[in-house]
Amino acid sequence: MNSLADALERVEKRRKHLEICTADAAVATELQRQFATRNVDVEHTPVAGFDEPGFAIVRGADGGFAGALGLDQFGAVLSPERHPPWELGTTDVDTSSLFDFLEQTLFASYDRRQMIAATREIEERAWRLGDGTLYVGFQRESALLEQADVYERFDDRDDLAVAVFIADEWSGQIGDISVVESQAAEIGQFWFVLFDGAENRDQSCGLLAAERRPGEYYGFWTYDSEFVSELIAYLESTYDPNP
Amino acid sequence: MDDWSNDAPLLDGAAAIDRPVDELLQLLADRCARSTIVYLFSEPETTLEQLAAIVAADHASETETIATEIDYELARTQLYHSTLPRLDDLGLLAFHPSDGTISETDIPLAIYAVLGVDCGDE
Repeated sequence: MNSLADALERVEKRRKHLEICTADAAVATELQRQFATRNVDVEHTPVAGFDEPGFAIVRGADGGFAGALGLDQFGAVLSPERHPPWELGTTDVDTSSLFDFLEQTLFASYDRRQMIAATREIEERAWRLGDGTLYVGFQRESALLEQADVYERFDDRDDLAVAVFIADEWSGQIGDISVVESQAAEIGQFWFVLFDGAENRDQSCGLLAAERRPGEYYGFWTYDSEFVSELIAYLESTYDPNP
Repeated sequence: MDDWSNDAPLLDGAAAIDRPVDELLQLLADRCARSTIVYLFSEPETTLEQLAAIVAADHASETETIATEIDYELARTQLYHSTLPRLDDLGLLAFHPSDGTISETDIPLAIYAVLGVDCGDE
């Protein structure tokens, strides 16, 4: 891996396949439209006799079964405008399972509010564990300042360390947090949150997204510990954050 | 039990009807068998892998859960060792364990109707 863009490209190559089993062709057409900007092939299997509106089956790039759920639930996952992740806790939908389900499926056109919600999923893991290192790319100083209170608490949290990356100059201070100032284009372009899980690699997770238009993000999240380790190793060797 | 209906044909004109009603009803009480039959109405030729995905997905949809690879493997095992051989034995489908292919052979429309499939004018 030679850049953050390489990581995004790698996920793009893991193209997923979505089989929509429904009697309603309009439902399948709408999902094909929604996934047009993601690296997902959508196929409609017309079926009759199952509970409406039907169900979705996800397969990996190798064609193997990756998961399945009813289309009612799937709608809740795909419409964060109607069901933002931070409100899913008040519904019957299991947030963590939904995040697992869409792991390494590219998302497109997330706004800052949705990105913060996805970021919180990863930050919460780090907070609960209270150990390990969190690597956060805020792109700009202003974005870091908006989250300063949150990250000051992270800095005070047990053995949790934080390394922050921005593409601006930084003269402030947030506890003992290590702030890397870099003029590298990718630091200004990518929003990322990576947690190493301390000694427990099962807890590692990451989010990486490119800002393709102002306030509009394209990326993925992952629980693949090897992939997260590789991303962290890249940041360590390239930017030497010393958290 | 000597109830006459146990040995009586369930429906006329199909392979399944020669089997005891209890046997057929017992099989249809199994969700895996029901999902299989319903799917075969739309896709008369399929595979074990596809059916396992359908069974796992249908169950997840009904229970509002998310089917994982474990659920898929459980469905596949049940289909292979239990559901498909029994449906084959009843003459409702042909299951070829060697290559995992399944063909609908002679499922009476009345069974589809009981399972909620709209058979239209067929």
